Amino acid sequence: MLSQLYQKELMDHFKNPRNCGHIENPDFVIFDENPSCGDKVSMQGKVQDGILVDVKFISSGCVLSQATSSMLTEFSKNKKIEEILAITSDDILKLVGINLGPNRIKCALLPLIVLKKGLSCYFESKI
Amino acid sequence: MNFKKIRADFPIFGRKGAPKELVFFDNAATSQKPIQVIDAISDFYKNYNSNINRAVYDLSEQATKKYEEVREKVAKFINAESNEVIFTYGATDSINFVAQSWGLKNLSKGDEILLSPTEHVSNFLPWQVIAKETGAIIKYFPFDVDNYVVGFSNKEEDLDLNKIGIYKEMDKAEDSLSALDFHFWEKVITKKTKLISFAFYSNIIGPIWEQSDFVLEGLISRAREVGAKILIDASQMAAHSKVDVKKLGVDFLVLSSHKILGPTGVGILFIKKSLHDEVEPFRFGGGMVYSASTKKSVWKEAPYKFEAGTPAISSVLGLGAAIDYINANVDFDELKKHEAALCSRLLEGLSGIKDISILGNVSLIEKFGHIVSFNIKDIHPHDVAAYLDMRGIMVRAGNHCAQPFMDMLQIDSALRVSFYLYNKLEEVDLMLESLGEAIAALKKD
Repeated sequence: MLSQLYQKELMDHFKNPRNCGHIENPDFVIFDENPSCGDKVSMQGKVQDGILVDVKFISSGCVLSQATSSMLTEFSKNKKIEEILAITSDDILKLVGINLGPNRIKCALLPLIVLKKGLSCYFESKI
Repeated sequence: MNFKKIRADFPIFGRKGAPKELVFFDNAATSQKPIQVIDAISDFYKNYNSNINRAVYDLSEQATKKYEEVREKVAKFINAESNEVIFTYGATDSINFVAQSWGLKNLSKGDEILLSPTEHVSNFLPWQVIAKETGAIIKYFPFDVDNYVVGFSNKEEDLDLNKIGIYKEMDKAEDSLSALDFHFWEKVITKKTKLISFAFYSNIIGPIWEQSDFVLEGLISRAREVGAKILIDASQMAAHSKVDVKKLGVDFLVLSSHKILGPTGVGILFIKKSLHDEVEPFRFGGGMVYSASTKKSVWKEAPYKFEAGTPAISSVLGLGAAIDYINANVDFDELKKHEAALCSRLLEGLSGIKDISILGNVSLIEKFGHIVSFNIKDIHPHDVAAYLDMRGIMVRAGNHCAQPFMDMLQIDSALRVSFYLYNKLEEVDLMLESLGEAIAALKKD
């Protein structure tokens, strides 16, 4: 039982999302979803000198996927790309501050999957 | 029925160390098990454990006898002959059996498989695979998404027969059908239709057939006319209604043990006796063969030719205990009233909540239902389910493995509350109270 699931910080990110919206002339725009539950996350970012200088998201779905989108963008902004690519699912759990079971963790991991995919696409386009 | 005594038979509701008593509202997924079933499984391992059918020693003779007694119990339970009852590994396995065995051999290019658009994917994917292999075509019953029943919607603008590929080939004259009538099936079931497969109760919206008796009767008599075979998925039905294969007039019927108080790992496949020669075995190995040699092997008679390898013996014995339990404690009419009352109480409570949409035909659910599915605007079902879980209430959220139907309803997911014999009105009230809290906590503004 996840008695602490909908704790204050998570609900704050859900109700007052950080970095929600669009960026002008982004370097990448990327979208993915969990077809099993309908969570959808789209991310856009700007990269300068190997640093993610701006990142924004649009998402729909459950509290977890939306709040972790907000938390992750806040966490990743102004970080080196290689640092972001090294973020693990354990890091996301630490960020969210709760332990999630195998069914629910997919919601929390979707934003990370999308962001990493976006950065990979950006690099491929540069090669 | 003594509902209080029944609940006391389920050890899970008295879990030691649990902060509060479980409120288990996910019975459409699986049922809890009474102590009698749990004891039957452990009794097998304590006192009879041996492989069945082959050994001549007494222990195996006893186990074989007990195993075959369950076949007879199942036969009586669904009003079949005992050699029409085949043990499989679950309802999904049973459908795959029919698809891979009967379907592969008997379907060919241009033949039609008719399904309900409301199906669980376990009654959709096996046919999709077979259709691809044989060149058969899958078609769907027209479904009235306004009233959540089989048939056409009364509204002309809703007659979009292309929604999930329904009746693309139907001509304009048929599109203008305004309501369901007795001749409905003549247009839907044709000489090309070789198999009609559907669940009697949807695992999302419950009853879809009971708006008029003639709907199902019409389907069956039309299927007989054109020689189409009928498969009924009774997974959602067997726990809540009397299954009578003769009355239903089916060729194949499948169900799962674990939804009717029995253990997981065993399912039932009913194959009508007259089809026993037409249906080839699906699995090959020990137990199903009469004589095996390098030149030629001969199968046993049905049902044994359909059961290869060591079966889930302990689970079959557990299923036997579950059927004994139902026979001794359940009156299906009374159970239906009990579950319908739980549905009605829930529907009444939900009707007072803003922005709620109920999936399913409310008047049918209030009479025959055990499932209530719904959505609350702007709140994801997963969040509501997770919130209720914090209060010890287990409901289901998601697409319920019926993605084509969810597409048809143009939603991704829904909440599902499904009742069974141990659930109580107080639990529904507790859920409604917690639901109010969940909405207050999860609404964005």
